[in-house]
Amino acid sequence: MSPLRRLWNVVRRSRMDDDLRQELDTHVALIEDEERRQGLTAEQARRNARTRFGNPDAYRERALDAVIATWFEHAWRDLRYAVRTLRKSPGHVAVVVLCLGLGIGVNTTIFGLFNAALLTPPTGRDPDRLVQIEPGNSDQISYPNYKDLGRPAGFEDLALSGRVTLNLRSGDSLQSLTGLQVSANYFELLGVSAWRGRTFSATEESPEQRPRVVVLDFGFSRRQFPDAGDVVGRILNLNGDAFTVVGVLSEDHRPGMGLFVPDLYVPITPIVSGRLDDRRGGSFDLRARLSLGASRDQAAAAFQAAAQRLEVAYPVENGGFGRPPLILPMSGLGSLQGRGTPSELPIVLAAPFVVFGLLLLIACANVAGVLLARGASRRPEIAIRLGIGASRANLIGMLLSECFVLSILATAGGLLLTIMVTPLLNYIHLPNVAALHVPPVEANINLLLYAVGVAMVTSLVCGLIPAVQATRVSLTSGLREAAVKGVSRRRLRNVLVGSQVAASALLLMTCLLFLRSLLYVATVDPGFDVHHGVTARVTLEQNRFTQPQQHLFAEQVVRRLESLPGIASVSFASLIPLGGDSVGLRAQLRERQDERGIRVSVSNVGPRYFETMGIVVRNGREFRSSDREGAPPVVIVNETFAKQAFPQGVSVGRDMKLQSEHEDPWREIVGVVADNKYTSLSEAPQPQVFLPFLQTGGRLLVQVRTIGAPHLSLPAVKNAIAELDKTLLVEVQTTAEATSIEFTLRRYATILLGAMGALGILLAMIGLFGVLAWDVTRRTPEIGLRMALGASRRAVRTGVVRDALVLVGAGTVVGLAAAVGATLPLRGFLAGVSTADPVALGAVAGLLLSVAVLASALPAHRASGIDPSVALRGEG
Amino acid sequence: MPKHTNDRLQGTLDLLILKILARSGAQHGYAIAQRIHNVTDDSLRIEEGSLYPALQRMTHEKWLRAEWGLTDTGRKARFYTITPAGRRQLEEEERRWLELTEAVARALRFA
Repeated sequence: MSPLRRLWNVVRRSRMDDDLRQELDTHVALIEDEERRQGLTAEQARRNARTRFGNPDAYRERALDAVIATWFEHAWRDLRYAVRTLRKSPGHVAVVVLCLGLGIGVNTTIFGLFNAALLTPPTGRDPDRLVQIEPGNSDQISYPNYKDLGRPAGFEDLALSGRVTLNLRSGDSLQSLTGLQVSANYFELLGVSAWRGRTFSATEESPEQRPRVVVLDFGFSRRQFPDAGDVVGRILNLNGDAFTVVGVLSEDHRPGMGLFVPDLYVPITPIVSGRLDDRRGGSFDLRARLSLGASRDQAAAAFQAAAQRLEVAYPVENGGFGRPPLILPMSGLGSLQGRGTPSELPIVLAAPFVVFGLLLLIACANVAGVLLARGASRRPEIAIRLGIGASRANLIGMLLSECFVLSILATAGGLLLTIMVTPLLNYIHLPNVAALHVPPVEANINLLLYAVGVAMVTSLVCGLIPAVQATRVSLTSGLREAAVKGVSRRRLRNVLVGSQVAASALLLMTCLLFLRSLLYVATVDPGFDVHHGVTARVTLEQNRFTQPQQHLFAEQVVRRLESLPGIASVSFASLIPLGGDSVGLRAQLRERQDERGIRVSVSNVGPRYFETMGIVVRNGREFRSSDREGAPPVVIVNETFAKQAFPQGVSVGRDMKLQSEHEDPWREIVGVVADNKYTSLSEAPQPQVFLPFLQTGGRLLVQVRTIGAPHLSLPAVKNAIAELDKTLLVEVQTTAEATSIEFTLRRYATILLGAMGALGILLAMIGLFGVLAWDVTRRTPEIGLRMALGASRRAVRTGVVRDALVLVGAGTVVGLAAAVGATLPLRGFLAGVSTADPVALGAVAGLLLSVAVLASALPAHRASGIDPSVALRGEG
Repeated sequence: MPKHTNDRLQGTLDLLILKILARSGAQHGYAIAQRIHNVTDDSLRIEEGSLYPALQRMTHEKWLRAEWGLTDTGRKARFYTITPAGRRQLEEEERRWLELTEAVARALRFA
């Protein structure tokens, strides 16, 4: 019989049951008739019939079993029974659901983020055929190379995209937007059409025409024009040019770039992209759609062939372009195999899952402890059920379904938590990082599957051991409810609490290591003066400023700011240390051209930069305003570079050059300055090279040294710069703020770990309390006997506390031992502290032991309050 | 789900029920049990506990049709009759049974 029919019969069960009952009754009655015909009395006939026929209820069950999917029925019955019993103890349900709900909630939240950032493919038709391509020489591609590639076989189409910062002016106010510059076929390639208006058309493909059109993201359009009905046709002033809104994307559009969501999209044009004729390197991401049926390998081969032709045609600019390309999917873990992916990413991705998974395990152990105690109190019930013929599997099923109901409730609670918490994540603002656009939690199949999976696993983890334990009842002793038989169960609960403590110790240890790193970092001297600095990030409208104009403007800003009161000196730079930006290149020495260059961190800085930053010039001189375009190329290096490059010699006066895409001239070293931290406060001194801003360029950060407290000068600096040019976007911060990214990130990590550690220790404390309280209740007669024999209250109290200390001590030792090893992969994120830091180890041990004393206080008090006469009589 | 430890025995019961119903008209469970006892001279004890699951199953397989009716003594009982599908099943089972017994007999003769 088909399983479907059997399942359908479940619905008809009660009629089938009635029919069978009637049928079997008739059968018995017919036997009875037969017996009576043989001359028996009615009474004897009935008795004989019963004996001859056997147990009609059992037959009925077997007959139904033959045609009904009884497993389903049993599961359903177990669930209903579970709901009924749980309803009788709402307090216990509340504790379990709260513990588990928290544990599950943090896990589903982090998975929701992970899912949105990594697993969700971009919106569009057939996302499986979308790929990202990294050519052989770089993770990005230049515009001329893209144009010349055409459409290699195996690809339906290729499209470009690149992030771009745009200044939007509305009235007198300016704001900075993060947009995406795209080739005109970008949306067509994704298979995305506009919600209102249109996307870009083929005529907007040629950058020479300078099309001034823009497509808005739905969210941005809502934020920017909250009351406007139709925004299509509106004019936006971007970078000083009037752009027409031609379309708005739909609300559910996901660009498939992690958590990055562009505010708007513009065609690639010189207006926003600057020069497009440079073939070297590249600044655009390449996306493509594979042809139907084309494999990634075929496409890669065709792409490489086309790229090799371009390498042959432009051997200087396209060195390495023809090497095998990387063709990666748009979503999933495979999309992270690109060259641009930082090597720490796997740790960063895995760490939250480990931390939150540990928390969930602690919660599970707690729930298992509660269920174990519950199982103990239900031993008589279970013994009776076994006695009247329930199989052990039946009973385990019954107990597990109770746990399953709890897990489902907790998962629902956890999902609720996720839904409430996720929008709050949008309020996390990291310095210099565009706000996160965390999409709201949706009824997403991935998330739902994950939640159901977590619920299943937790109910098994929490429920299986207690259920197996609870049903390990010998009939006689179970019915007699002998308390002495609890030894193995006690050992089990000890193991549970011990592992809870161990997991908490691991969490706390990690948290303390991060805290110690944070404190260490706070004391590290960055090598420059953060207490008297103001940093102004000036975003120029790119199409209006040529490089010489940018130099002139920077100098104009310096002159204007120097005339303000309270200002000691002013300079500018392409980036400031610890500000979140970094440029790494190789430097070559004139004397040793055959060697591979030294890896250096580079920044372009203006005249008087070192004076303004408070960095000491050890040798030679600092840049002057005469070190500009046309003057002899010069360079300043730091001490670490000087030591590495010229171990015995003098460095001032020697020549070096940078190996970059843009041919750099030989530069004479004119100065050596003291070391300063570049990307991280925890780093060892790095070789650094400073180029004159006026011979190079870059983004413009104006650096001001104040005489008094820097925050007092913020408004004056901002106004002075804004008055010079109304199209600029100026963000002014104290240098302390501008260089605090690392500190902020570390603080977030520490707070998060601290919260998880605290939650873990709270859960462990509840578990420990539970086990001690239960133990004291169980041992009431024994304690009574001891007291009757002369044990003092004090001795009894100490005994309970000692048990707690032994339990927690063992857990702590295991947990800390594990922590020393388990935190090794995090070494890269720790500063000034080893993973076996004695202070942290001692602190965790101390904390957990005091928690043990705290959790045992009430049970110990209760134990010492036991009245021996009552206790001994109670045993009977 | 119930396990049939002995498929052959279950098949035998099916065969017996189908054969009895094919010979006679509509019969209720008690009568079927009686007939089995009689024709096998009580040498095959068919438990009532096996009879009813078999009847249920075979009715659901549409080999049998079940209808409520009254016995001679005026008791309400379920009467089973064999369907065309049931007759086909009977032929099939008989054929298989003969094959099996012949095979066993041959084996006993020549082994």
